[in-house]
Amino acid sequence: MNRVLRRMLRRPLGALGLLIVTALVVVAVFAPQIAPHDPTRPDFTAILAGPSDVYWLGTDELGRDILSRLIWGARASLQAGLIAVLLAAGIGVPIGLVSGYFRGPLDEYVVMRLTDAMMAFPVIVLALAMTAVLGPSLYTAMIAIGIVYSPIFIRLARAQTLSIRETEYVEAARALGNRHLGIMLKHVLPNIASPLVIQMSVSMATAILVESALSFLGLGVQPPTPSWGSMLRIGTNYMNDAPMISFWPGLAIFIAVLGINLMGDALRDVLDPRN
Amino acid sequence: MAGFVLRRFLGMIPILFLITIGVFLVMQVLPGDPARMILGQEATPESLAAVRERLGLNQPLHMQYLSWLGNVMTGDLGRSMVDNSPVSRAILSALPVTLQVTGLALVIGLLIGVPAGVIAATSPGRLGDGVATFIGLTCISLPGFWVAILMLYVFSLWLGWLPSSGFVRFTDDPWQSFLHSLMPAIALGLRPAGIFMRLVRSSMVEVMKSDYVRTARAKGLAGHAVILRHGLRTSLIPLVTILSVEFAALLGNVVVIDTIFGLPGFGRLIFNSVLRLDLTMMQSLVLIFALAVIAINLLTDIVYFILDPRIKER
Repeated sequence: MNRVLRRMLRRPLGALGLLIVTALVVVAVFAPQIAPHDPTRPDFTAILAGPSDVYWLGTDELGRDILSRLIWGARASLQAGLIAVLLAAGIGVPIGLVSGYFRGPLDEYVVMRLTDAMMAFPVIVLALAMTAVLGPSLYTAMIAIGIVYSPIFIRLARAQTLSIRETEYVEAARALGNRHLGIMLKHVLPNIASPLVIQMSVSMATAILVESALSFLGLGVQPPTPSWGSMLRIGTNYMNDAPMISFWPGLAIFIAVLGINLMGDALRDVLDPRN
Repeated sequence: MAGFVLRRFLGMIPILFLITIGVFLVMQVLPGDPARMILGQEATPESLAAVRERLGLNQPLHMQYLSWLGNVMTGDLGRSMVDNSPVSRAILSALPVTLQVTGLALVIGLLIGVPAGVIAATSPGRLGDGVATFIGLTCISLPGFWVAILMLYVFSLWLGWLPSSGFVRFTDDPWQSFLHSLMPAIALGLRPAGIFMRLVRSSMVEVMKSDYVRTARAKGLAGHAVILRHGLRTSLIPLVTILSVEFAALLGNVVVIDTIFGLPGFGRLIFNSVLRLDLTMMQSLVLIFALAVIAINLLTDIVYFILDPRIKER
């Protein structure tokens, strides 16, 4: 772990990615301590105000501090990305692992065809349909993204398991009379972990994009809870008077996603045995 | 060739079947009573029963599925639960809009991504490497709806060069039609551009190290000829594969872009159907999205086969 971290830091882009992600996590965790104002408290004396000593990035249509809302918005985005990806991996990895380990008709005709069918639905479209079922909220968005992303992890875990199960050490473990579950957990899972970790970081970046798109459409985080996507949507109503309202949240989404992608890319370079 | 296409097509039937079951079941768990949604809160029990009878809602679930499937197969997608207009008409009117915008987006993605990837692959060194990675990841990380809003501000509100919303059909006025779809297509095309660039770069870097490229160089073939004839051609196959994946992503992103630019495409249709809980419209659209992706996958396999005849079976 330490070695991986050190090798990532040696790459300028990897270091930049780690820096952005660390900053993001710190901001999200310590939002109540960092934010200069209450993100939901309106100030009717300063509606759509420009940057000032009190409100560094200005205020929105209700006079709420944009900087504080951005800081709290990091929470929603990070939470959505993290939980969606953990859910996707939590569903996908066990299914893919077991399916790839035992193979057979159940693997080929049921699991593979089901993932084929699931992957035919564009993420946002399926998430929209699920929002209609479960009602719009951050949790709906997270669950929807998590379920939609699970076939990716089923596929990846299965493909990796297929190659590991043929190795000599797995064969040896089997010859020694180890139970299947033990072999899967002790010998297969640790050896397929790297590509899964890389995929998790890639998926987390797109999950944050999808969550902010859903919130932008009004189907994710509900007001007055601050989120980058919904801030951006409200900003579009004030493009003539206060264009910066929609600039900042978009920039925040971009930097967060870029940071995670840079980290994922460096992780791939470091963890991929071919490099 | 014909045998290959047929085999791929037959292989898709179980997937299509699963998709229809999935779409049907998702719509079944929707809260609310469709009959009450059509008639409103003041409906009498008799009229509710009549509507349920007409829609077949009092039949067992598997019978409802089979009759729905039968209708879909004959092209009857039902009527909107909100305004009772045929769903197929709404879809046919939205189809050219979405095809034009997503098609243009893919073209923009290719026009930016492929040359950028070639340049990145042929400019070696750690600095070139880093710059290429950074630009590629930037394109992938930019939220399309933010880019759309920034462009709207600069090119419509500020400079007044491009129309801010609405759509003109290609058959009515090709030039205006192009102008109306330009910003949506750029907003949609940035992500594919980044992905194509990374893909072309990584596959070309591999190829340029190969023996046959060294041979081509050694026999005195000019630098650009080596790049085009050997390098780029080999990266076409992964490019075709990723093209189909990216098309699926584009179809999803259309929802946000349609909303921003007020385009009367698929995205707006499905978004409105979700807001109004228009069951039949939603059901048909989700099905069509999935069918489109499946069709693109089949097309990809065929192109794949033409590009590389070694792939007989996969």
